[in-house]
Amino acid sequence: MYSIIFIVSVLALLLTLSIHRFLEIKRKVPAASGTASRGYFSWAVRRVFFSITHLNQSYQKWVVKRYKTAERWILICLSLSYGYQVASGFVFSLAGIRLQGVFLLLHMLLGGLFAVCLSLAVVSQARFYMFYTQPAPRQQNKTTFQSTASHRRPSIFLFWIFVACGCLLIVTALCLMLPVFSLRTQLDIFAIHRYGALASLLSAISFISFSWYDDSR
Amino acid sequence: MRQKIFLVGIILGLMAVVFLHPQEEQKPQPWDGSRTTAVHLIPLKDEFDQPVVPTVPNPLPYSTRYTCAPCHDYSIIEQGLHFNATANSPPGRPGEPWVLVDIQTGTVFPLSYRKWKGMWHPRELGLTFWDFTLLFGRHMTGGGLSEPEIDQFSPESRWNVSGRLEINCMGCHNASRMQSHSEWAKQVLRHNFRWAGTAASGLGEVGGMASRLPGTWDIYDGPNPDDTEWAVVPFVKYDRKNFDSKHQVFFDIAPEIEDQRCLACHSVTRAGVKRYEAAEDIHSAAGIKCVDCHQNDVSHAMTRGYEGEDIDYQNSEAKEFSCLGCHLGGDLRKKGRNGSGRLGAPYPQHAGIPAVHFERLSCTVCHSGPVPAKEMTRVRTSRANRLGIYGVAQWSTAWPSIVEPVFVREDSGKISPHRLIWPAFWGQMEGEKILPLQPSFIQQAAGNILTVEEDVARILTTISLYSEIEGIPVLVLSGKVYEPNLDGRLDVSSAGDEAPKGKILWAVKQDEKISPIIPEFDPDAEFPDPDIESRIQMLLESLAMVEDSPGNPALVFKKALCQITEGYLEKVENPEESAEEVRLVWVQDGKIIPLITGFQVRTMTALVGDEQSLTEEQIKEVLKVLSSGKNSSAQSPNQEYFYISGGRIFRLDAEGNLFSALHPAARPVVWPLGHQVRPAQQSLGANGCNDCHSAGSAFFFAGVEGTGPLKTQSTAQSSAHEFMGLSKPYQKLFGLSFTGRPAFKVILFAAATVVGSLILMVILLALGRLSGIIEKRR
Repeated sequence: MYSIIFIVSVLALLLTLSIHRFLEIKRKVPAASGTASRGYFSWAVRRVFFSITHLNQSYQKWVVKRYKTAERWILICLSLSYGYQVASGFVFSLAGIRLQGVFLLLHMLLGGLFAVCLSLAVVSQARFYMFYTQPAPRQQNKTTFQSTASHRRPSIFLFWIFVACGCLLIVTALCLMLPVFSLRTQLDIFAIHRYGALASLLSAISFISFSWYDDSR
Repeated sequence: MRQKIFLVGIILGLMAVVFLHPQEEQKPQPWDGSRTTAVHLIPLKDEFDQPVVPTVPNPLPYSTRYTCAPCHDYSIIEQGLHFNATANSPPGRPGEPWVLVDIQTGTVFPLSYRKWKGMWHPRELGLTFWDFTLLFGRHMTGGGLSEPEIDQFSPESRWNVSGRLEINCMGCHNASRMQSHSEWAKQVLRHNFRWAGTAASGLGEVGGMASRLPGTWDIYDGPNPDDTEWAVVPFVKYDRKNFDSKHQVFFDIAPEIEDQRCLACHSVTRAGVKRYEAAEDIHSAAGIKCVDCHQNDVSHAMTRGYEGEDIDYQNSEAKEFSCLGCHLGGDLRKKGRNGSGRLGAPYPQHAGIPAVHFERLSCTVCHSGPVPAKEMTRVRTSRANRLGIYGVAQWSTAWPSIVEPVFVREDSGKISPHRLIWPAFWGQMEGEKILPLQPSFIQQAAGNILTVEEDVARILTTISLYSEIEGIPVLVLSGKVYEPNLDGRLDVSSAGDEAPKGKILWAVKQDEKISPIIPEFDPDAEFPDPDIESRIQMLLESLAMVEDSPGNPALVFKKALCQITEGYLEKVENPEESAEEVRLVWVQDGKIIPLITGFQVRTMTALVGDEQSLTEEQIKEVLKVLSSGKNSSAQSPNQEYFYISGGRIFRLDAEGNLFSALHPAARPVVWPLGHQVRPAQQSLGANGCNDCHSAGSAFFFAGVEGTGPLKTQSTAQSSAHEFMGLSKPYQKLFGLSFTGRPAFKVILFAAATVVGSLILMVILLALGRLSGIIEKRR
């Protein structure tokens, strides 16, 4: 059941986001994408191919230029630990096998790293993802900044969703380690952990998509 | 005329049917719902279905087959679990094997008629039903293979003398304290099979021994009036006060079988502990009886109580009597929420135990058997170690060496605690084919190679019996005193500091003081001491009585050799070098042989007082004898003899040297254990994850060393994780990770607190903005 929910929700989200992006681009630059659904698929393929072949440029653009060294390392560690956890957790889950062995050990260890990095990232980045209007930087007038903040609202919302899901994952992992909860409760906590992970993944995908979209505007 | 004859024939036939037809048997009645037990005041029937009248001369023992039959269908009962090992019944989960133990040949051989992994079928060792009953009848329930049909009689068997060993119904169902398992065992060992049930139940006194009767004797022959001393025909003297005027007997049948009856054959205790130290199963301590879980109906298909039994035996009810059935009420998700299982069994919370444990471990891993330690716990079981047979004569209960808990991954994929035994046996190998050899064959082939202790004990016992030397004859060797015991073997004790080192001293022990059996004397004296001469003569005369001695006994000292010639002590010149001390020897064709050889000295010093019964030297010698073909009837050049002990196989190489190797046939045999169940507070994990998960965890890394009757350094070495099929490095690493767990939890807690606080703050801010409070304050 979980596998089905996972596959359907992830595919639906990816499809929705890409179509939304495609339609946005088409609306702005009608000549660029053609009109048929074939246009969408060719665009999607080209986009994926472009992303893969321009990983380094993307890294330079989205990470190196935007974050200080310390923040950069936090982001890298957060991404890698989260990436491994997503991969290990969902691959085993989809395969119908319980996460075990070295994979489980790494899942747990990197879970600790994820927790630390997430808290650091939230502390360092929270001010950029507030729902109220921040005082404008000196070189930027207030009107411009407010308009930027308003169109960034989905990203902010998704950021906090992701953070909340991450917090849920940390809490449930911690609860599973405490000799407090009965087996039945543990099974329920484990279910929350799994669905929390799914929600976290969906929010992460959405967040990345919207962040890119916002920044590329 | 023909018609008349035919008519008469029909009439006679009908009359025969009417008058000769036996009384109609009562059919078994279905249970009427009453929870009371019927009073069993019933007439006894013998094996010919005739009433037993205790007042007539030479009454026969009662037969359960016919005595219990009017109400209980024997043919159904004998298909029950305790009797159907040879029947075509599902083997189910492996159980305890029957272990053939022969100390002298170093045989520890696990046997089972059921197809259980690693256990040998008795047929493979050449054991017939008769042999098996003689070997293990002491702890068998009777029936099944010990009650064979005539066409199942093997040629060498003596069923016609002993009778069949019927199901010992009272062995389980009797509530009387008169029921004696020891008496049952004694009668079986005397071949008094048909009398065993009567004797054990206390209904009568049984005398005589079928084992001493000629093989031609039959129950119809009756007693032998000519022999009332030795070959006394077994007889039974019923205790008449048990019978009423109608010759009926009251059987004190327990409504539920008492645990003591089960424990007669199913006791398991740690070796070497005092009775009060022995652990009791928590269920027994709580007043639950064995049969509360191990239930059956008239079919006697006992519930074994393990997970998966319902599938193995196609018996859905069995599920209810497993750990899960009782404690979870059958369904973890639904019923567990609202209460407990059977008889109000506590519903386990298992707080803090990750769910994976319940998928991969059986309940018994954490709850049953001894707590895992660095070394395995050695236990003794009733059937394997012959426990619970009481009497003046005691037998050794040391072998086989059974250890627990060894955690083994079962076919179901779950890990469960097992008992383990290392097989030890002699055999013949042709290619990959292994043919185990019976101890009797090895005894015959090995001659006195394997009887060193007995041979020396026989010399000492003979001196003690046939000489008038005061005190107990002993042998002083390497600082130890060897003294004969009642079992025909030797007891060993320290000789103290005064004992001569490196010498063989025949001595006498009197008032704990040890003195040479022949004091030093002057053999060249013109007038020798008559007391010493008399002592020498007594000693040599008694030595001459030793069975199978290689020559005549003699005494050598300096240049003199003293021996008995035509009843007189004769002193002649010592043909060998002058002896510095008094030596006892055998003279064979003028050649002097020491009373005990160097081989015997080495073997004795290595083994006497030790648990092991064989040395590598003995193995080598026996293998040489077997390989030479002297004692085997037929041997092909491709056949090779071997001995297995301690997890290794011992063979001779081309040069005749002994070498050992690992071999599949030497692998240990394991079977799951169910009891003793410990209380929850003492289960594994009750003290936290570190009970099992640590770098040096006894659960994962306890040593399992091969043991066996052979005294050797070459034994198989295993670690507990190997039996579970787990990776050692990973389990070490995983165990090690638990040392950092507390810090890890603190980190997670701190991270959750920071992130959670910020989320809370953001939520409050968002709420503030939505409600306009923030804007107002600005």
